[in-house]
Amino acid sequence: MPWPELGRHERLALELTAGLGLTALLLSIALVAGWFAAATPGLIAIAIGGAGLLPRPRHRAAVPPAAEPPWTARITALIFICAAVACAGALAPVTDHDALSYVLPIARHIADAGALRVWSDQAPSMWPQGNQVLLAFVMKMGGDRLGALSAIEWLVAVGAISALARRVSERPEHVPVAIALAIAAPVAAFQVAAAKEDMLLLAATAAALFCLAGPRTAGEAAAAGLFAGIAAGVKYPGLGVALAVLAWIALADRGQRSRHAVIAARRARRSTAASFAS
Amino acid sequence: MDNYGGGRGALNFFITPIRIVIASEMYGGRALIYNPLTYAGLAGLGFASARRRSGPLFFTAAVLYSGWYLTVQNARLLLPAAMLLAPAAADRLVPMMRRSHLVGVAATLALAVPMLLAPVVGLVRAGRYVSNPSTYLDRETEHHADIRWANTHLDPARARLASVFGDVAYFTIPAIGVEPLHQFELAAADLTPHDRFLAACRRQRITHLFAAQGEFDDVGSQLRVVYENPASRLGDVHFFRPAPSEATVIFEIH
Repeated sequence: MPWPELGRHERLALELTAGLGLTALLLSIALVAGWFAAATPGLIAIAIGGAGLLPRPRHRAAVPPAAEPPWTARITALIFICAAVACAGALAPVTDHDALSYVLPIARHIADAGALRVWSDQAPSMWPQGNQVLLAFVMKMGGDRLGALSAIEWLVAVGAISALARRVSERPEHVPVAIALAIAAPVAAFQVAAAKEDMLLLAATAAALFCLAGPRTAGEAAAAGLFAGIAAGVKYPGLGVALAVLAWIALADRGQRSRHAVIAARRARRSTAASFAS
Repeated sequence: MDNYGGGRGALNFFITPIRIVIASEMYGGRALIYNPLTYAGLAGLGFASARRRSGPLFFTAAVLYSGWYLTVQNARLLLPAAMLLAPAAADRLVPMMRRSHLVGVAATLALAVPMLLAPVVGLVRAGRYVSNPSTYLDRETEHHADIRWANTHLDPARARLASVFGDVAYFTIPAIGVEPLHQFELAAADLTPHDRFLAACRRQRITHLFAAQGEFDDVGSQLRVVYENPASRLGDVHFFRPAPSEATVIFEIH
């Protein structure tokens, strides 16, 4: 996607949001098909193939950094430094009550069974399991610092929020304030290393709305649908994001509403489907 | 739905965003709230340019808030909706911060302090872990000493433990949290009276019960105490304050 207004880190955050969501989707398909044990070589093959075959993005920043006041870049850098330092908590094992009550037990079930099911001792397994699938993969690989996943998702979310703020803010100097407003809160501080789904939901929501707030093209609609589907596959409130994205495209793009809405709906359905397949 | 929130009336729909801030304990607690300065973004609804730029963000935030209001009113779940108001809030706040030195200082503090909370929490967590990794879970999670005892003293091939406390992830023996929202082996109606609860446990081949001291005194004749802890640590209840403790017990069900 040509998103020339974005910085490299913001573009990377959007790509990683799509990458995490699509990895969860591929793992979910492997779980449903009974191929979870072969998921690692499959993912490695796809990563190598994708890196080799896909064209390199010819990304050039349309707005050179010099066009922004220097203090804007400095404050943005400070915010990202704060966000990165917050990840230090992921060195420790998970202690969050909710994560220990159902997030990690469901991921453990998935890793042990190699399947997606609704487990009678874990009622929340009836909800989308995108993040638990990622955690189960980490467990299967022998990882025991599961907060590292949500810490990565946190950094990705900060980048995606930065991209969204850059696209919709009145002036470039408002961007760091918008990022700070979005993440400077107790809820974010305590979720960074909690291994819960909230950070990936935040990243996917920001990415979906980034696309929705841009030019009304089929490509942006498809990307919005993809990210909205990822949101819906990660946590049940994400279904609201998917419904809102589809409704907005259908209502706002009056010229091409049916075509764009169908494109977005198809992408959303594909990126969500396997999370509900159980 | 659950114990969160303050009802679902029409008037409440509009005042709940304020109640979340002033009575956060009703919505999951202070640790779960987003930055209330994002509400400034709602002022953007009065400006055509803001509506044009942030229209899909306002719309999606409204859909998310409505869905939240009708389901689980846990403040944490509103973080994505609050995030969507942030760019419009920045567009309203930054000009005000420029116009008034006082507003500028107040808003900067209101952003900088919670912004620093994330790295402080991360560094404190890391420091506590590095200082003594072997006792970290005992210190920072709930009832971990009890869980360790169960893992090392109960036979995983024979025992199945029901815990009235929700966090079961660190049990290595088969365990189930009995909170009705977290499982559907035991119906909410099975949880009381305790006679019925124990009958339901036996039906589900649950052999042991992990509970607070005194909670099951009325059915004591059907239970045998196998473990007691007069001060089981609740390590994750407070982050910056000392952890409370409670007396716990593990029973074998006759």
